[in-house]
Amino acid sequence: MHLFMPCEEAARLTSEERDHPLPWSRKVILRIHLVFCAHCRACCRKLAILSCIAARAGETVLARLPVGAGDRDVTLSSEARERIKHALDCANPRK
Amino acid sequence: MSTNPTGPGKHDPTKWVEEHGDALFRFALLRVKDTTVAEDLVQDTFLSALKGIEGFKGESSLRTWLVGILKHKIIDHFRRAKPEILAADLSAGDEASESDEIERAHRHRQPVVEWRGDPDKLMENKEFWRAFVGCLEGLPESHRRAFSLREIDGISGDEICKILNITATNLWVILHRARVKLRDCLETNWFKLK
Repeated sequence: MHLFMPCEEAARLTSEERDHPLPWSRKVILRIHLVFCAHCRACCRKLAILSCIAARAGETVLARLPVGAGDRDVTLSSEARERIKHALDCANPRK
Repeated sequence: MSTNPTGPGKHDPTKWVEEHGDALFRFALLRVKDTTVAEDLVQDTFLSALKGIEGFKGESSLRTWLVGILKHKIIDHFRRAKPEILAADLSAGDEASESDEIERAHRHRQPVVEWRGDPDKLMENKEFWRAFVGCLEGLPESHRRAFSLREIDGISGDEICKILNITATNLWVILHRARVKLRDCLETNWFKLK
């Protein structure tokens, strides 16, 4: 068992560890790498923060926040709004 | 006395578009790139909700119920995606990831940029939100789908493999690339600037 791994492999395993359990040998070598590599430790912390941010994105987007790079709020276009209302109107049997 | 669930009572479908349309549209647009597709997903959601309104018991809010339907519509949309699209993204990512690795190896010798700020507070910041969405929009389609299913919706890897019709190994590669791209993008467009 090699006790050292390159940073690229450590980065890949740090990501994979968030999706499935690693074999114990890889886990041990990854931990050893992280003890000695400040950059990879920082990357590991950043992935955890990224997960927290993404997990909140779903509820955030339901609040009144814009989606998109511009300054305006992102909303349904008036054409889409009318089209959807019309489709709902046609499909509503009890209107 | 029973109320008419589709009439002008508590849940009046004629008001759904005004009350929930924009939120559902933004929710869909976080997961699919195409505006027209997002609009169609919202329309399908409302039509399915109208069909199933008798089954809505009011145990959750109407918004939560509609979002649940929309999530299923988005997953169905992903399931119908042509496998070639994902394969093309994977092979395109190979070339990109090689140059990314070289670039990262150089950056490894530079000082570490720490990410400061509470994620809860960051999400309340409109400027940060724009940076986050901009970075998400910059991902290849397969990366964005896999990342949003895994990290935004919290769906298991096994389930995502079935939805996207890819192997677990492919999924791990895609997720790794998506995370690295997002991390680098956020660092450049937010954390280094603050």
